[in-house]
Amino acid sequence: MNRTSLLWLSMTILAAMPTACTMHDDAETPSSMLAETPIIPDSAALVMRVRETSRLYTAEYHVHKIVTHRDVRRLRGSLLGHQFEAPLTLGDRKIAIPIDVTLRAYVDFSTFSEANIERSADGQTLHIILPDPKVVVTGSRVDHARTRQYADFLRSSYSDEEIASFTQQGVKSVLRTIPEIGIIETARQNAAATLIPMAASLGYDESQIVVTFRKANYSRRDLGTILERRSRD
Amino acid sequence: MANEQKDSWLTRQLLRPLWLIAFIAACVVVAALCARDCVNSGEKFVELTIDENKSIDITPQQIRSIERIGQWEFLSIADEELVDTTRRRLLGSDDQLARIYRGTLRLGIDLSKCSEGWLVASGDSVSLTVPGVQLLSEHFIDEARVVAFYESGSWSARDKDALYHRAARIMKARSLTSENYARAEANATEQLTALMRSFGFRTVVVKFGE
Repeated sequence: MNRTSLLWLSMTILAAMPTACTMHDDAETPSSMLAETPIIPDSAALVMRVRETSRLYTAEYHVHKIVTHRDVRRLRGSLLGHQFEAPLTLGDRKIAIPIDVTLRAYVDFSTFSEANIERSADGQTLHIILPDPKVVVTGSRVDHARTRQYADFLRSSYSDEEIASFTQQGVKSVLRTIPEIGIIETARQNAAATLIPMAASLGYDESQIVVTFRKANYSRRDLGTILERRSRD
Repeated sequence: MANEQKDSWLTRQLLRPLWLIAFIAACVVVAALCARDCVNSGEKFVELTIDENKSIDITPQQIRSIERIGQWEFLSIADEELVDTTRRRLLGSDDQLARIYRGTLRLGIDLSKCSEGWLVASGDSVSLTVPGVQLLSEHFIDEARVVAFYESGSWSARDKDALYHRAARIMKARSLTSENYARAEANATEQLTALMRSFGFRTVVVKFGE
């Protein structure tokens, strides 16, 4: 084998090696099989905000939802002012993401004062006026193990960014149903059930304690006032 | 006779390109008129786009459980953590996954753990013995607000779960400090005292259990 042949052989091997590695990267290899190479963890804290509060949480709802998305591409356009639209049959993909959302309702006591308490002239009846309950998402979880996705060979799998976007949309759709799922009513009843024994311990007769809230009924239009605004939403 | 036939043939040969030119000119005029209409209406001459559906489907939801709780929160710590992992390859092109997790850790007291007689009133004095300040919920990460910062290669559900748990550990280590517990306890004392004073008690004593 002369020098030129050796040179060509070396170049061929060098050219083939990165290709082989790239194919290995794209394969659906379980992480356990890749564990032979070390995983290097790293983390960095971004932001931390500490806030003093006074909230009485009285109701907790666990909501489960399967978020689905079907990605059908459509060709849309215009030719000389005439509009047309047609589905592209090639390249369909679908995903189903199970999510669990924890909602909690609370009464904010940070502004509670003597103005929220009324006593009858004889001092026997106690009337406690509470602020309207609010609802907050205290936690949400994606069931990654049960997430299923199907993609035609012409399409790429859903990216982590897309899955995060769909999850966020799923939680927002859960939040839109808050006025209908009864969490506010449950929160009000539970707040009364917590406060009345407390007031009774202070010397009042339980039958003479009244707890009221400012607003009677809630509808979808009240969603903005019920829901605690999540930062960066 | 032969000359007349020759002239007729010649005339046809000469006129043929004229018809062709007239036809092309007519097409150009029609196209120009259409283009003028398009320009006047603000539309493009030819436009093609491929639309992708970015919205989720409408699906039902299920309320798995409703719980009555009585937890009083006195300190909330909103935290964001960038957590990433790298899978080394033998010949470069490492796989990487970086996600930003957001969560709110809530410190307070669980009223369901109060013992009998935790609230004792006597005259214008009241004494409260409440359980120690604790983390009110272990599920404090809002995974719906995860920012998928960077992803290369393919990552399994187990990898993502491992990142979630690591983010939770880091948040707890950073947030559940003795300073934050002390701050929550101080705020609890202040808030409960204010609450009792609004009921008309002058002397309020707040004690914390274990």
